[in-house]
Amino acid sequence: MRDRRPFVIFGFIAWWIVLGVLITGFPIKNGQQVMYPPDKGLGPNPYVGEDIKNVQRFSMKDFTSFMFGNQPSRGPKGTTFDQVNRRKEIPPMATVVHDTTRFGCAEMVEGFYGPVNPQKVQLPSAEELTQFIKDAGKYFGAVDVAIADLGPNPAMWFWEDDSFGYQIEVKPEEHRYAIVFALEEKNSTHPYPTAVNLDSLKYYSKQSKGYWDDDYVAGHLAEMIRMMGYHAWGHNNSFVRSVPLAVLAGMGEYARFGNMITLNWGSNVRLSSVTTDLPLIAGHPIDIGVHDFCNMCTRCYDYCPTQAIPRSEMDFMGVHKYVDNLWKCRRATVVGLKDLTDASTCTICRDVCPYVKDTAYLGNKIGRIIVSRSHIGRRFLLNLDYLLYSQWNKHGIGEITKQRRERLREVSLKYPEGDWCQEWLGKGAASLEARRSYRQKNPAGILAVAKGGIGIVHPFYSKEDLADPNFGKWPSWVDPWGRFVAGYEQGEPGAPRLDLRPTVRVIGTAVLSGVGGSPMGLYTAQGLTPEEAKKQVPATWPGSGYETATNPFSNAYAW
Amino acid sequence: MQTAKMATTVPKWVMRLVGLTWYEWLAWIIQAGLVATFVVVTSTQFQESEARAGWIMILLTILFGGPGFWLLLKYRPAPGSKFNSFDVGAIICFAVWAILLFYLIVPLPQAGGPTPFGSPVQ
Repeated sequence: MRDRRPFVIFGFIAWWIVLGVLITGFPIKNGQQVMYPPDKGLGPNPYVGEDIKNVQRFSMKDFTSFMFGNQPSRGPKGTTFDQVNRRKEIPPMATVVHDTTRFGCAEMVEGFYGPVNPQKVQLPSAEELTQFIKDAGKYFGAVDVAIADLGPNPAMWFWEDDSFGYQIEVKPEEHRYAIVFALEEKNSTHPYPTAVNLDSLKYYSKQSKGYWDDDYVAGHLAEMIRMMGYHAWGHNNSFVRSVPLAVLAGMGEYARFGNMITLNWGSNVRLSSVTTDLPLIAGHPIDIGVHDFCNMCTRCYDYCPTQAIPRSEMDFMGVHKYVDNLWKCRRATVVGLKDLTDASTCTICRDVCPYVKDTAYLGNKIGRIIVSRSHIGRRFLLNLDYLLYSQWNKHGIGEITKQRRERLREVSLKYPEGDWCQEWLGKGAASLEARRSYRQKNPAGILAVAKGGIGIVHPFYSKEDLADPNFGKWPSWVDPWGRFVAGYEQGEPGAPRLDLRPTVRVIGTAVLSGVGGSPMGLYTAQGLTPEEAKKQVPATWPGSGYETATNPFSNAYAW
Repeated sequence: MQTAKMATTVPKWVMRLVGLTWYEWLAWIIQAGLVATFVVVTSTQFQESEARAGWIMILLTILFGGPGFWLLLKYRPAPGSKFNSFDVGAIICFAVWAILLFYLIVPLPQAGGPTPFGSPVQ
């Protein structure tokens, strides 16, 4: 027999080149999904029927935007997340952290809505402007920013009312695009927090900060865009459907457990957004292999203690997708074992998702590239992930989530399906009177006084803008609830929420425009010395946590 | 001019390296890439405090990388020789890879039948 070594070496080369191409997807991407245009579907989730055309806007009483994604907005009547989270299991120290970091940022929420600067700034090209907005979002703290075109009927992306039953009036021409922000939220493989320990502190501070950051980014951007002379509303979980917007913008793909999965952060992101008429360049749905991966992987399904995650996709209201049972999910996580004070925390589906891997390490980056390019690579890594982390339940996520799963199963058994729905619909969101009671008691609740406002560096104001005598004065406007707020044209000071008049200050060559940045900023603008400023009774109320929700001057709408 | 003394001082492995054919170079590059990838993924497990996963990855690194090293370093049957232990070794190398890849690519145990995680579904 001749020298066989060259043949074996060639076999070795061919073997690994072929397998390398198949597993990594380089240079040939394999296993791509069908991508539907927005009028046919969202990414790989097609519209399968005509029902979609009949679905316009959902009332908040429907609780969740079950058509595209699940962004459950809030608990039953009168529930604030503070009440939900101020339950007895939470150790005092965690409550302190929780309140300190705030479950949402009232100041920034108030930046969600407001009057528009009548002086439109001169914009750069659409490309530059889009890049600027994305950079600004990342500067404020987002890890990813994407833009969705809301199409000819932007209102369909919005809830039809707020959680108190008041209609939201969406003018299509003012909401052409949605700027969607993703903020990273670290993995929370924590045991059920029943004691003062590092886990509970980490969990609650992380979660609270996540909400705060959401509001911070959306509030800043919305305020900035309005100062540029364009309409903008900020959104956290309120008013728009964050997940489908993010999918439409190309930030990630819809996943089995009803959230969006991004390539870099899995589903461990919090979403917020700004809807605006600023002329931007929109993204489009992307294929990063999530749909294919979810079709093979059942980990969230396996781990869900309330059996809320579906085994397979289904046609639901004209869309072929995974439809999660939000009633089951929220029954455990919002209502709890006994009552609202006994609610639990879950997020197990997110925590066990194979896409959730730390972004800092090279090994995970390699995995992400493979997963996004190759069906065979996805199979390889899925099995590898199970081999590394799940095969022996005594370790890893199995053990970490065991306590939570057992507790949530207990909750699930206590509440047969339907009970909670009845409770909800009977006493909660469906009752218009109940929903409006807070508002009736607190007529100023929506138009809260300003808590300082937002100072931003504004690159677009020209000398002509600054020379205009009306520059910086707020015009009349209609708030999201359709209420007319008289502005300077009618001799009024402007929006009540902007108690602080906008100031324009030139610092060097940069123009600082805004409303002071803080009450102390206002005092500075008024020429008060720091000593005098300290003696002022604050016109603003620095509430946080539970107190914020019950403060009549606070906007308790958009947690 | 190379002296006899110089020739004797050049290490043997250097001479073998210089003497590699182009396809052997290519094979070594592939082998290095394969092992480097596994080493990176292994180190990631330890960086993430997933020691158990790290040890599994060390085992996988040996299983995926070892046969390549054996083929490139040790597989040298005499030209013209009959089927012998070298060929058995080569078959074992490819069989190891085939079994590993089959196990990691073909079945999806979590997507059919009872789930192994104590799910409430069961």
